[in-house]
Amino acid sequence: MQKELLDYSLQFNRRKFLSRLSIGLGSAALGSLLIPDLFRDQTVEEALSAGLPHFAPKAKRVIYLFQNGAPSQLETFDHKPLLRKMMGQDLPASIRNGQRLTGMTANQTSFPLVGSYYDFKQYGQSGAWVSELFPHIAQITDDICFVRSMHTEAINHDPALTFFQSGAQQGNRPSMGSWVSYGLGTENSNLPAFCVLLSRGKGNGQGVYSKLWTNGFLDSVHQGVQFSSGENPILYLQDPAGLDRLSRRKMLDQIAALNEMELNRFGDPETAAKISQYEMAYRMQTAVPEIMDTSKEPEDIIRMYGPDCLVPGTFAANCLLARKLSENGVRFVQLYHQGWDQHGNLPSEMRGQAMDVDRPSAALITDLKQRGLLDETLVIWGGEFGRTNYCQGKMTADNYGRDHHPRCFTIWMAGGGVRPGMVYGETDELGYNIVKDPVHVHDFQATVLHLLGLDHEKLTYKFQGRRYRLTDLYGNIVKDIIT
Amino acid sequence: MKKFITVIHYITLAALGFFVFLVCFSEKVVLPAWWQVVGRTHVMWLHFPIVLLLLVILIDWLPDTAIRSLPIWQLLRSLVLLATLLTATTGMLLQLEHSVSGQTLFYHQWLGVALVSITALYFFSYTYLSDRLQLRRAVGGVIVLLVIITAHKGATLTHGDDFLLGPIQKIASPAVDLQQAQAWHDVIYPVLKTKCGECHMGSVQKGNLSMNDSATLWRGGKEGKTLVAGNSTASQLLQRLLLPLADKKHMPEAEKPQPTAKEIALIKAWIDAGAPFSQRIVERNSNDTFRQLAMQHLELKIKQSPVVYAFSAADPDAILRLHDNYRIIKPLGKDIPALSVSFFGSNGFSSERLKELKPLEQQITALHLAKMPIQSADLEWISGLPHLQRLNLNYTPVDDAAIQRLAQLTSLQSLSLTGTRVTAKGISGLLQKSKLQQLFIWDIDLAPSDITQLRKQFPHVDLETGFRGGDSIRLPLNEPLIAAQEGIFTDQLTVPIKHVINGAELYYTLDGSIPDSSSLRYTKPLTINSSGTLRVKAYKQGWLPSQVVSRSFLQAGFRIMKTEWQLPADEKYRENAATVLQDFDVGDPTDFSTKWLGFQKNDAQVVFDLGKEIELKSIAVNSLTHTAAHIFPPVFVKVWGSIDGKNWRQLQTFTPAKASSTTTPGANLLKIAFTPVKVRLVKLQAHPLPALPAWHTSKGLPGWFFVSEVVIN
Repeated sequence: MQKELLDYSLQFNRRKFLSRLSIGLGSAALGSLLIPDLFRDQTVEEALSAGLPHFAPKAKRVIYLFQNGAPSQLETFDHKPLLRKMMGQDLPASIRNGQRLTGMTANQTSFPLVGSYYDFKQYGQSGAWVSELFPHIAQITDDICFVRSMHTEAINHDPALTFFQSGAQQGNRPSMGSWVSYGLGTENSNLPAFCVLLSRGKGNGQGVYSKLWTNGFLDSVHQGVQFSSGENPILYLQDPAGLDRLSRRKMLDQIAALNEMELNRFGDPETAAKISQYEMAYRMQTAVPEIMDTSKEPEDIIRMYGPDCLVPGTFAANCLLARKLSENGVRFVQLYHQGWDQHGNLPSEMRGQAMDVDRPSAALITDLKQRGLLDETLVIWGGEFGRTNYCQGKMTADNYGRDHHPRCFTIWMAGGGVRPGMVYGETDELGYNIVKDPVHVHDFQATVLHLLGLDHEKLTYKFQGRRYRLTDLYGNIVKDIIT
Repeated sequence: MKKFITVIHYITLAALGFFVFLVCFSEKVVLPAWWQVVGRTHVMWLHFPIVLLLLVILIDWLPDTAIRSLPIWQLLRSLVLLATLLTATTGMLLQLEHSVSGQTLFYHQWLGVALVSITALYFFSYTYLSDRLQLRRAVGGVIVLLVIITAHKGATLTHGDDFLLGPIQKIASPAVDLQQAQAWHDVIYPVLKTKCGECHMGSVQKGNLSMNDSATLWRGGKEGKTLVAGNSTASQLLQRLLLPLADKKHMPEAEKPQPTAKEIALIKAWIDAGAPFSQRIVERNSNDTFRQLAMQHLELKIKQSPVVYAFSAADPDAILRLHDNYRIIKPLGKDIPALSVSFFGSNGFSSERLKELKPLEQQITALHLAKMPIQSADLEWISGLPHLQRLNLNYTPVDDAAIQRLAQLTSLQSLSLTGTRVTAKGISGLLQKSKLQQLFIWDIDLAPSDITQLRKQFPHVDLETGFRGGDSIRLPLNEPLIAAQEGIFTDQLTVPIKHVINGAELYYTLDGSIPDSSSLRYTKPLTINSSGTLRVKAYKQGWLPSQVVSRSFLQAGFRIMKTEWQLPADEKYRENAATVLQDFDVGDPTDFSTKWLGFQKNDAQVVFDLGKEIELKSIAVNSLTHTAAHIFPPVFVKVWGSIDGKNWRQLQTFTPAKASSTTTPGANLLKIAFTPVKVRLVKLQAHPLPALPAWHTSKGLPGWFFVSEVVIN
């Protein structure tokens, strides 16, 4: 009895008191009908429906291969032969149409158009154009859907990246992976629902930082867990040297007993949360090393991803790890590959970057497919914005650079209910503006949530008096790219 | 008060006369425009009789006579008939605009007339009724009923047929059969129903236009013909859709839901195709635009319609009881009875844990058992799951015999057998008996001819055999890893060499030659006991050899007893300045912070005290080259020697090779040799590059000199 009284006083704070009082005694009965959990504990049905999709999902999991720094769409997937013909001519002001420029090219006196250094060919049934930089991705075009009409609002890396990940440019909002973890919960409760893997190419890079995988105002269990490439992939997870599993178990049991006493005495739900988190960490101690172990991968797999997939911290290794995590029920695996910011030296830097990611990206799709996982796993590949069709800095026959360009860029998606073998959207002949089917970042986010069975307008969280969602007040589902 | 009531009474009588006139001669009346304005006030007046009638009639049902005899009721009773008449009269006027027609209007109009009549009777004979409470109550009941029905019919006219009960009606969209789908019934009608139905379907016909069926649609409305067969641009149906939203004639009205571009294209194609009604879509020519759009439309509709399951949801208590950290049980989504079950953690798996799912056997549609040590008997149990659609048995110990049981699963669509022991024979046996649509058989012992044979035998099954023929891919091996922390040692050094790929053979040399597969083979960590360079190359069958990796090791002859900096390192890079040059750690060339000293503004100038007189032969300086980070070899290194610390003798001026734009970043050992000389103290001066060369992006800025180790021999 005393415990119930304590429960009551702990959980009945001033805000609740005032908000309930304001409903008024007369309408309280009606109000309780409209607000199901106002006056009662969670029922069995509610406990079950927590973390369920709003409707039957196409995709259960996401692997997001973020190409950090923004790879040029004009050297990768958006073929613009006219740019080669008009090489060196100035971009007409009517096309630029007042687009604001970054500080890096704002003072440039001319904007000479520059065509791709690399040749393009068409591949597959869809006839998608792919540059010679991606011979392996070119082989799987019939499994993927290119969206050539992405556009964003930001013109610099940090806000653009933050916008893509959290739906707002300013930061501190929950990341997409956190929203998915919040909406769907974890599939395998022995692993985190949202994992983050970093790698770095040799090209000019831009930083990534933990605010990109923050849980924001959501509960901290939804935060992205960063795997590092060293001996301990998850920090503080390993037992200290000399401590065996049995001792750890005994210790946890003793701590749990103490915490249980504390819980009975004060009834603070945070104590209960602590107990379950210790238990999850204990289970992760067995689950994580199993996943990190690549020694049992067949040699075909190693050839497919390339031998670098055994070198921790490379993009290839992260792709392989992403497959293993996804295979074991991790909802959202977020990769970042740095080094795509080619303001100068574009032809040579992009070749190196493409070498890093081409084979493993294609291998990941093939690998998921052969395990029967591709139709329930959504793979996304792309950067935070596009690059200009004109040259930044000095232009020579085999060297040029491109500045940031928010008005159009290409990303691709595969699996998870996305229509395979499709090219969606179109840019103008100069590759500066979108002429057909534009897809805003919020539209992209709404579509990803939709594929996961989540209604982006219903997945909300009330914080500081306002309901927030990933797509803020915007976002239209791109139905045409859904199977 | 009484006088007021009398006045109301007379006005009411006059209004009644006018109303009777309107009802009798409505066919002949032609309304001037301002009367239309009066008519349209109907939608305002109608609220008064509803409230007043209900009030004055319902007090009769109150038991308390004291309340009933309050004078206010008398006043209200006198007003109520007037309000009813006002509503009915304006309603008649509105009807005379002839902008709405149909059955609902008919009922609304004549029920309204009936309501006025009975209400008039009731109030004019109120004196007679005043002491016959039961009769009054009965008549009152009839009036209330009439009010409700008439008002509802009126509301239907404004809001459409399904307005009131819409939220609780289950809209059952019957399954569409592509072969049987008809142009009107299955394609056009459902589109028009959602976008135009509120005003032009069922019993509502705004603008006298009804879209109920082909007859009414061809007839058109007040504004004329709706359809011109084969000519969409001349058809009002399309014209109205395409007008700008702001245009008054645009339909649907601006604030109502608008048809999508695809729906408009569909309607256009339908009209251009001659607006067929009962024709089946498949009867049309396959390159006909309407057929193509209609098929796309139907396919999308079929795809987006929620799956209907033939079983009801399981007991939520049972689900929660059976759900745990290693046996995840979840419905596919909210309000969906189908369950997905996944097992994790092979150590905790047992047949019992599978059989415990018995209470959920009807609902399980997806079962994920990858890597679980399942037995044949388990497959027996699984084959009893009546609604199982997806089954994942990747990397389980199932074999040919075991999987034959799965043929009993009539609902099974997708099966994953990747990494199992099954063979072509077992697969073929299963496929002959089952209705599988998708089968994953990668990483299974199958010959290419088996695959061709299976594909030929079962063309309707999506066989995913995955990536094969990795042998044909010839890739270079990664570089081997020389896993020694230190590059400098005094007595001897153990150097392990590693390679990430199992079975890679490592060949090495220590004599400066380039290793190949005939060089020394690495079997156990090397023991190095003299200065030299280790070169390693990896080989493996089926792979191209790796690049050569090399690493220099240096034996230190003499220990430096004391280090005195005459010109110090830059404050950003001078941590551990007193000891770092003699810690035998050559430093990580990618991390400049703790193991390196950096110089830019001034030269590096340092005096080493060796504690005793030695014979100096050479000095090695481990410097760093990293052109992108502005770190270059020094312009020169000068060396002096002294025995007493007072008299110095310059021994050597060493000029290292210049870095170019192609120099790879990394450690750069500067070896300075002398004719042997006796010294106790050695002084070193290195001069950083004053200006970066012309090829550098930051040409002209001062360069850095970085040093991590100095070895004296």
